[in-house]
Amino acid sequence: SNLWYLFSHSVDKAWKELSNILSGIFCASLNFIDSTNTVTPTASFKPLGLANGTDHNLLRYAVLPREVVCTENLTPWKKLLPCGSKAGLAVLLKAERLFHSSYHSQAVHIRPICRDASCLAVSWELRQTLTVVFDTFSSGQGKKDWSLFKMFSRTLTDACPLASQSKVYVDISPKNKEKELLEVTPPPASVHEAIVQGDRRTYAVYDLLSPSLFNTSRSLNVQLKWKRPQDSSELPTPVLHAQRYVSGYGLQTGEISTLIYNTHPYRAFPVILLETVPWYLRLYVHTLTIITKGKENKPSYIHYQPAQDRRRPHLLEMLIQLPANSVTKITIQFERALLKWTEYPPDPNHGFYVSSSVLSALVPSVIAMKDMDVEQSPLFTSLFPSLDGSSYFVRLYTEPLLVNLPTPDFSMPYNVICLTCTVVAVCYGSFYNLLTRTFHVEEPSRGGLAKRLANVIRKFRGVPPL
Amino acid sequence: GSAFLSAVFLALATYQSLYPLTLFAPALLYLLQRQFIPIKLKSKSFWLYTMQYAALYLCSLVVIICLSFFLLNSWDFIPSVYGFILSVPDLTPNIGLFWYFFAEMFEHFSLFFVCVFQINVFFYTIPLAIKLKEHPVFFMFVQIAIISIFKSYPTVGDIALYMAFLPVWNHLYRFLRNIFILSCVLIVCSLLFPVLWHLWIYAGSANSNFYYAITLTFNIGQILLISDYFYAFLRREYYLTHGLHLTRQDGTEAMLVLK
Repeated sequence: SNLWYLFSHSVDKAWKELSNILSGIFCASLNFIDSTNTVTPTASFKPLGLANGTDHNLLRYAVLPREVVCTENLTPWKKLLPCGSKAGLAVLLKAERLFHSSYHSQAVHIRPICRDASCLAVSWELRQTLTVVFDTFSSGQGKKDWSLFKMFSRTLTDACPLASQSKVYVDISPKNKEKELLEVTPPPASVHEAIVQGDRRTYAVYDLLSPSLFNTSRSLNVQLKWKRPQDSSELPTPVLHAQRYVSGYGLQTGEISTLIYNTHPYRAFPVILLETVPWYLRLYVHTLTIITKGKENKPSYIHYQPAQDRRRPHLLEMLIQLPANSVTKITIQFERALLKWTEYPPDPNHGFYVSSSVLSALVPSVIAMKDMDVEQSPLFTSLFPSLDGSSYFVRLYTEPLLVNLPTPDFSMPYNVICLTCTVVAVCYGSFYNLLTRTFHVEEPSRGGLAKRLANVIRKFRGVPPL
Repeated sequence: GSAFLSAVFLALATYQSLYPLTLFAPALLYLLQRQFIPIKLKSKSFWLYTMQYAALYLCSLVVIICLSFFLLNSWDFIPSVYGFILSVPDLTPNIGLFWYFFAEMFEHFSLFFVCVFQINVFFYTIPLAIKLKEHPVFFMFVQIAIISIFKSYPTVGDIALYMAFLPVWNHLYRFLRNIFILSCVLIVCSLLFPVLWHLWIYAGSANSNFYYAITLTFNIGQILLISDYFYAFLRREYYLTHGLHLTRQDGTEAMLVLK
């Protein structure tokens, strides 16, 4: 889970309060956000919506890579919706089907916007997004057909009465422009065309608020059937995508490598990479190398803030120019630290998570996008923002990494204390002996206690003494 | 034999890591010996010389620290350098005793044990000074060895430093009691250190306990080596004053014993 916010004043105290309040609202362990996983990025995050001149010192970004999203996070998220999960589109969001999926992501965005065109008053816009990837191919007996009932085990019955708009958009963009490959039932009332992320896409629109939708049947079950049998057509690769992995062997050193792919055929564009590495992986910044197409690629802006043990993580921000149709490899070596035994999580050999790095870029789109009316399609302009028609903004998150640290033996604290103190005592004892005693010539002794006792017994027996 | 130079270099060594502070006492004793000033607590010349030397040492130390302050324009380097040496926050495994100790320490007691371990380096100085006041060079050797065993981040370089001085006391060889087993222990431990490190960190088939055990054994070996040399030194002193062949009252050969 990650959290970022731009404050206006008194940042650190407000940050702690914010993370604790949000942790309570969303039942997520955001209260574990403290200075060891919070950074202050300088370039990667710009505030959305209205903002006065931004000082990047007032921005905080934190990631908790170990936190996973589950049902108890979905429930308060649904409660924020005006009708909850009782009416409208949210009736589909039942936990047992939503989490039976390949990918699940929830987000809440809050930003200040103008209330009207003259911008005399500012109101807060709350935008909630839920992204779920269902793999019907593997769970649906090899067919790519889907329906709302198959995915969510329920259908839509009505719209939320508090909603001013309630629409379902189904992507029916044809891959080849020749014939129709797919069929959507029930037939949509209208079709909307938009250019999304550089691609021209066609959407079938179902407006839940229009009275004609529920005329024929009480419930709406959108179904999509593919007419042709499955041809192994690959999905188009996005223009910008990235991977990250850890290499190296042993528990002492390692290397983090990030691969960034630019599949645009002829345009190069810059990308901002933000990496947050926890303090117990000590980065060697002098080993940072960026290689594109076999040659070194020097970033035009680097901001590096080294970590302080147990206080703050490493922060590395770079602006890298990606040439067209290329792969850029960024590598940096690190060393693993030994922590105190109380700082290990309950399953220490599972490893420690390194949070995903964030790539922000304005990707040039292959197709020129026309200026869209904000009121006409608020969904698309807020989900896929673009400054001008020629590029769109993308923020990518790479995979989190799992890194093993050397562990002490957790069953041994008492033994270790005893043994180490024994060694110290050996030193103390021998030195004490040598310092306080002096050499003497040995006097013949009368015999030890055992000898004397033996002699006493012998006297009783009448036997000559030793 | 120059007091000024020795004060300056000692201040430099103390500035780098805190522990050479304890070498002030043997240096002072050596210089007093050269000036033929007897070490009596009531003698004025003793106190005068001590004060002069201490003033030289402290002034050079203060000058060096202030130079660092002016280079850096803040006092941040003092907690970073000396606070780090004293509070042992980094637990990277080394050949000393403390890394595993503080890795397994209960949080409640960590301050107490940090203080105890740091005092351990410093508190042998005064008793050794009293016992070895006529032999400052040997005193310095023992002090260097104690520093290199008990400092917070020992290295093989520190051990090499005092072991380089062992040939100076070659004449003590006949009085050493356990030199064979101790040298075997030290050699075997030096050979096992990289093996067990590799097994723990790279092969994954050993535990941190293996490496820790070798650390313990190696340090015990060093401690016993130093105390053996100390014993041999004191025994030779006794023989120097009382003669080599000792006889008891009835003429038989005598044994020396520490009592």
